Amino acid sequence: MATASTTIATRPAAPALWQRMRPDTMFLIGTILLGLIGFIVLYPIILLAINSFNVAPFGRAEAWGLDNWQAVFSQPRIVQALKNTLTLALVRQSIALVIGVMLAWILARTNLPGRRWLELCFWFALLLPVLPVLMGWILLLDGHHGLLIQAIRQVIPGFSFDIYSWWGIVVAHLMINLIPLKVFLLTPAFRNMDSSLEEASRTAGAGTLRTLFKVVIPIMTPTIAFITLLGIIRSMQSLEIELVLGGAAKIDVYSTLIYRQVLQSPPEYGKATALSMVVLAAMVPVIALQQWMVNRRNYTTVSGKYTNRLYDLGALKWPVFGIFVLLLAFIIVIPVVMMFLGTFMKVYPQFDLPDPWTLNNWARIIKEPTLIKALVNTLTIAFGATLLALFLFTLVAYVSVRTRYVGRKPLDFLTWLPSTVPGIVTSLGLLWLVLKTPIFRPLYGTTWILIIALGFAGMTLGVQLIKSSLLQLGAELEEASWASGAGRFFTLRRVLLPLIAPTMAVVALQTFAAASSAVSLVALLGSANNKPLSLLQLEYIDTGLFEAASVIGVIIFMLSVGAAIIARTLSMRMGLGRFEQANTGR
Amino acid sequence: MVQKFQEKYPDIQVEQVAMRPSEFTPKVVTEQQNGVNGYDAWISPTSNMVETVVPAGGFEQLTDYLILPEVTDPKNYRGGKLLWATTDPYVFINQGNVTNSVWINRDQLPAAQFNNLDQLLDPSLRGKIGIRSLDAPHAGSLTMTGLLHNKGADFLQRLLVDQQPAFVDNARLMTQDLINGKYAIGIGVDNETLDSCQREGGCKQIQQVPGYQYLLAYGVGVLKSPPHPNAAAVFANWFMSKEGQQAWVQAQVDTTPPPYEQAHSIRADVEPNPEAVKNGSVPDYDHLEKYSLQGTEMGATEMKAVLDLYKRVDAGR
Repeated sequence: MATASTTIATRPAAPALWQRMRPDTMFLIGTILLGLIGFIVLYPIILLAINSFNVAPFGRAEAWGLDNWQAVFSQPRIVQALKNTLTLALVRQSIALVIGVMLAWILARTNLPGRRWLELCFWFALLLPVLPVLMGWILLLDGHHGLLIQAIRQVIPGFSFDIYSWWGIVVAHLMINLIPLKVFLLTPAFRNMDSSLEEASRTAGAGTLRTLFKVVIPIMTPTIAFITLLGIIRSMQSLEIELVLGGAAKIDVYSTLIYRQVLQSPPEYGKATALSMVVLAAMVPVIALQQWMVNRRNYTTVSGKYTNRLYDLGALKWPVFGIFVLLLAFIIVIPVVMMFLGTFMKVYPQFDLPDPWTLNNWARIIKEPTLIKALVNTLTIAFGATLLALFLFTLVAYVSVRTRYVGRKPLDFLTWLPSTVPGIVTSLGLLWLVLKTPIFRPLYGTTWILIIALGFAGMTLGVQLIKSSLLQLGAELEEASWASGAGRFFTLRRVLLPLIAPTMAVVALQTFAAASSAVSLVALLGSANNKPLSLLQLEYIDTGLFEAASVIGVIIFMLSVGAAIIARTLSMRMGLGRFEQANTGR
Repeated sequence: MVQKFQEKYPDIQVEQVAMRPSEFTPKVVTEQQNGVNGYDAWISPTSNMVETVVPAGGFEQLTDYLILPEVTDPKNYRGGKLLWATTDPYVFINQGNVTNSVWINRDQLPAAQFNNLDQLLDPSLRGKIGIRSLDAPHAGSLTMTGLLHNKGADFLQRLLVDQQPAFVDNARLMTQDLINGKYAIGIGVDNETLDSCQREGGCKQIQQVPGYQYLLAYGVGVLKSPPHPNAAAVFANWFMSKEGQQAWVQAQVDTTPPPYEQAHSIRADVEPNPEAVKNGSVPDYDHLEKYSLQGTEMGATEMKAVLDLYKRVDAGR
């Protein structure tokens, strides 16, 4: 008996109502992040903004008015301070950017000998504490007694330069942090660039410099824009160097005006927060402009056909190497030598004492009964903050640039805000946040709250840096992974993260170093149980034992150096740097 | 010192926090405003206590906690009285250091040309004086309160304006500049650095010029709603007893470099460290009107006058 076989094509069943209503995972994650970061960022800023209208002395019952704002804007030097702040920021950022781009390109894109070690030296330079290094530079560049100035005058009589001047502030910033920071931030981004772009340009007849300015730099716009903006914001907040050099030269900047308000007794937080809100308001349109610039076009430099062929410097190899060595001698070698010397001196920098050297500073610190506990606290806090920062910042950066989450632009915008308010004011805002929030209050005084606070502290730099790195990665990398059946998080973990590993190493190191040396935030939020090395150092400074305190500074520096070496080793094994190829022809 | 207390009262566990008063003040005030009372007692220079925390209602009346006769009997104290930093008994002064911070580089200014502070207005010194910027309480502004107290506002005005001093923010750098001869006179330098340098045989050309001193008060208070009021009472009574103050003096000798200027107590039955007497750091407690009493309500008024004067001078620069 014949039978007919009939196949009826069926349509797949429509998803159930609960499946249609199920929110997208990235939407959930994005919303949680937006809520969390919005709360942690905006709540303190709102409290600070409200406080700017509180005209009562600190600690007393609140009284509301405009006196703080009137006092701020009627200060006779505020206009000059603002002008100094902007001009200093623009000039030194411009110089540092030009030098930094050149140095980073050479380190990442050429066959400079020892380039990996040279790059590491720039990392080390960033880990040095600012004030001791500045004192070393003053020893060299003081207009009357500076050792370097006197040496130059032997050759050029009448040579005149004083570090206590406008240009002195610029030079100090360039050598102490700006140039190393630019190299630190730009080199991983340059390394992520596909060399075929440059090769195509040269094939078309463009020279090296033309290729650099017409191809490389435009491709690097997101990174350069973010680094420039961050540099300007950080310049607005820069304090230590301006306080020391600007005071003697009668140069006020915005941050020193704010700092002086907080130093009063009782502290004038109302005026300090009013000044801070002005900076915040001024930065908002600049941040929006940066976002617009970055979102205008595609900046992919890493695709499925990525190559990293190094440019051959040829006969310039060793002269360029010599320039790097000379620069690093001033940026890292001399400051490190001076820093270590200081720990073996009875009174730094009194070299003319009958017997200036001693081991007592080291002996005192090694015998310090709380040293080990402080060291353990420092490592716990620093590692904890680093892990939190890496996890959170990577997630935020990923949602901002690799998803269609509806709140990604506000999320990205929020990550800029913490860096627009000076740290000495932010610390108070964070204290209010912790004490007024039921979920954080039980953590007050514990190591956990320090990990959270210090983890969030570097959010602007961390998120924007990882974001810039993700923007360089072509979409086809993820698409290939998805097409092979991998999910979004598997792709993030196994494809994207290894490619941005060098950038994550930079973020990790920056967070670790900042957490290891943090003082104000730790003092406000911590307790006796979690006192780290930075507070132990402060205790020695306060009892007049500066040289012993500098031993602790060296210990903190060495911890950060160790972290730098680990971070660097891991990142070079995972990142695109391992694909460097020698270029046998120009 | 805490160790000595713990040896005497082993059942009381002490958690000690060492912070700068300027950092501890916003922390403790903010905590109290938000219902967190995490500390029992506070010992430090009394300026921040008096100027910020007392007006914020941050202390208990200490007389409610002091019960030992040896602590409450005025006869046991130099000057024959219990010295309070405030009108109401919130902060008990246990030590007052008398000093100033006026140092001369004798290579620049021999003794024949300058040997007392009345000569600070000498026109020949114009442009040769370095003063730590008087925008906050520190050794420089404290020294100025001593001058204000003894010489009046006009003297101070002329010093800050007519003598065209250089105002420097960083004490250590200013000290270095004095040593290097950039300034002939330094006001508000880092005394500890100079002491260390001279102790090691250097900086022989730098001398301190005595006169018109200020008194910097140190004291103890019990914070509002202490979490352990009984332990706070035990500690406060022990601290102000002979035994406690002896431990206090010894702790300064043990933990600070020589010349231990600060090592003495207001208690008459506690011997001051000989160096403190030799240096003239121990005030004349019977005639405190000679000094600007910094860390007290009266001293706060004089400090405010100095800071306000500087603001006017700075605005006109």
